[in-house]
Amino acid sequence: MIEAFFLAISPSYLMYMTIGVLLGLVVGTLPGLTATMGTALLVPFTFALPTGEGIAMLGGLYVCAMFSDAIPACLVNTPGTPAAMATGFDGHPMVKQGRGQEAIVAACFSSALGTMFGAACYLLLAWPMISIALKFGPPEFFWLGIFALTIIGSLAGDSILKGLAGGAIGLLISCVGISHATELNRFTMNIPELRGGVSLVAALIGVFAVPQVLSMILGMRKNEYVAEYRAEKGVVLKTIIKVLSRPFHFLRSASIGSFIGILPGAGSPIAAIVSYNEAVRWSKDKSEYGKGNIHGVTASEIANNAAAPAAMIPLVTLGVPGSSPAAVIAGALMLRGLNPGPELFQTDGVLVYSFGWSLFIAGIVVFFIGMLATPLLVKIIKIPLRLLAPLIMFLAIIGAYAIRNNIFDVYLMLAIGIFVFLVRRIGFHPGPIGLGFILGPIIEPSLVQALYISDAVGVGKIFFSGIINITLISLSVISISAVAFSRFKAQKAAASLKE
Amino acid sequence: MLQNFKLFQDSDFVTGLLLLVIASATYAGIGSGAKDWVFPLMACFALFGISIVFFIKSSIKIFSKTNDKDLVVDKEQIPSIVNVVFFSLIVFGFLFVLFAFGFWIASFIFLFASISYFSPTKNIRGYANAFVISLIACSVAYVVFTHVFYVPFPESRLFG
Repeated sequence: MIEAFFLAISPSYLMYMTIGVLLGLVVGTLPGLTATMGTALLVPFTFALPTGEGIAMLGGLYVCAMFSDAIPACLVNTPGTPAAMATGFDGHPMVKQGRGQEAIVAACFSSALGTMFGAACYLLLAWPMISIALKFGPPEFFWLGIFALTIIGSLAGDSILKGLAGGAIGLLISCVGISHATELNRFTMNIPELRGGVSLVAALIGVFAVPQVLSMILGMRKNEYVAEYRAEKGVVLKTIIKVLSRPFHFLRSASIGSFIGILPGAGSPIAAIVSYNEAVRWSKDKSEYGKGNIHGVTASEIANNAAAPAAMIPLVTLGVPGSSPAAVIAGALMLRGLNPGPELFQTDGVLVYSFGWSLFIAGIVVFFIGMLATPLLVKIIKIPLRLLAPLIMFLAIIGAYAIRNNIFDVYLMLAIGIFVFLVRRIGFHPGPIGLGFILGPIIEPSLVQALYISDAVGVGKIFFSGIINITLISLSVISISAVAFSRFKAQKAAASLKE
Repeated sequence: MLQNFKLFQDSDFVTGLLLLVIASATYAGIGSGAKDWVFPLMACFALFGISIVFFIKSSIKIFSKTNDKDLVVDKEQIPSIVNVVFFSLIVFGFLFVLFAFGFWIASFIFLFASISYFSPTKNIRGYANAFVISLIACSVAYVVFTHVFYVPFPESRLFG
């Protein structure tokens, strides 16, 4: 491991990893470009490099994209990638309160910490963590998805019922396309483009960016800018102290992120959502979340960044990638004749560990590059709305088109966006709709697979037995009860205030 | 008649109606095969249930004559709504001309038209600003998306 460390800090490793980080900054910031797309596009360029430097560059891009997606999420309430959806819940209200710099610094510092934690898990705890992850089957994934869905209680706004309805609408949109059970066409209305389902990225741009742009235009006569911005001295240090002042919050978010990162198919978006949900559940004043609480931003960012290096653990231990960018990195290794899996530890142990160290160092590089870029990036909110709204819409259209080079995705994005803009008027929050859409592809296949298994052993034994299932069910019940109780208390307090 | 119209000013009633429409449309599209449809069916029943709750809530308000009027549009809001509608038309126009004129011309027209429309100063300086900003935005997007990320933009069917 020591030899690998010295390799990772060699000038060539550092240089290529930093190039990857810089590219990740662009990929994450532009809605429509995902970390998977970025790593896939970078693979051909890495062929000219030695293997270690090549995968360090890919890793740098991946972890930085997991930070930079928070920038549009905070500034204009449009997540750069699906993993930053939960970041915007508190990040954007912070910006609206004139705390834009604080939001970006918090996202950057917590992303760096999360990356380092995930990389430390990769270097030190890969084997023990993978033994627990292997116990996750379809029913456990189903309950994990249900547990993540309980966050609706915190996101629902004034009406929990509208939140639940929004979640159900999101889940229904995720059902469009070929079914997981017998490959049947569902809700495709004989439109061939719908057979492949609704593009996750295009739909999320529709849920978050389009209503935001239309709201900007609606409010343009009253406000000239997204929010007031004033540069303050000492914000960086104060924010870092705020983040560090909650070590338990950091450990909880990073552990959740690392563990969920290991689970194949779950990835950074689920990690961020579950971590945010837990931050709300453990908080004494739950009502602060969703209104500009810095710990909402850090919970999401620590977890989605910790999940990125952790997604490499099943890749190097079992040969199973934990996320889509990890799958691309697996492909890059295989194209060089290396087989990801237990053999790789024996044949190329130095390469495996140097990659872990590169990811750890990438966390530090992300912090410094993020800090250098923050003063510039935060000035986006100084652009008048009359310029910002058309520019965001322009980027949203190109982003939705770029993901599959399909104009139909742009039409869908606009249709979803206009629908969400209109239902916001009757009290719906975009969060639960986006959440349902992200969680649908996790919950439904797990449910169907578990139902197939239950044909042989019974539904009760599949869904309601085993320590992991029971724990996840209990956590879901606790989460729902806590939200219901806090809402009841808030309503009671409001009623007594009225009296 | 007037009473019926007033119902549409209550967000709870409109929510109930919207959810009922979505749930009914979804239910109509559900076929046979338990495992194929179990998940959409669960979401559909959830929407049916929630819509009923909203109908009950709005019915109680009708009987107690405490209807909400939270969906009333003020006269002051009309110019902003016109802006939203006009911008949406520009967006759909952009998509329409994207394939006819290709990325460059369509994007430039879209940005120039929308920035000029929202500009408070409708003079030569305002149009010149809109021109420069549109040109810069199109150039940056073109370089980043086509030369860095290899996104093939639609080409003009008219000009090749």
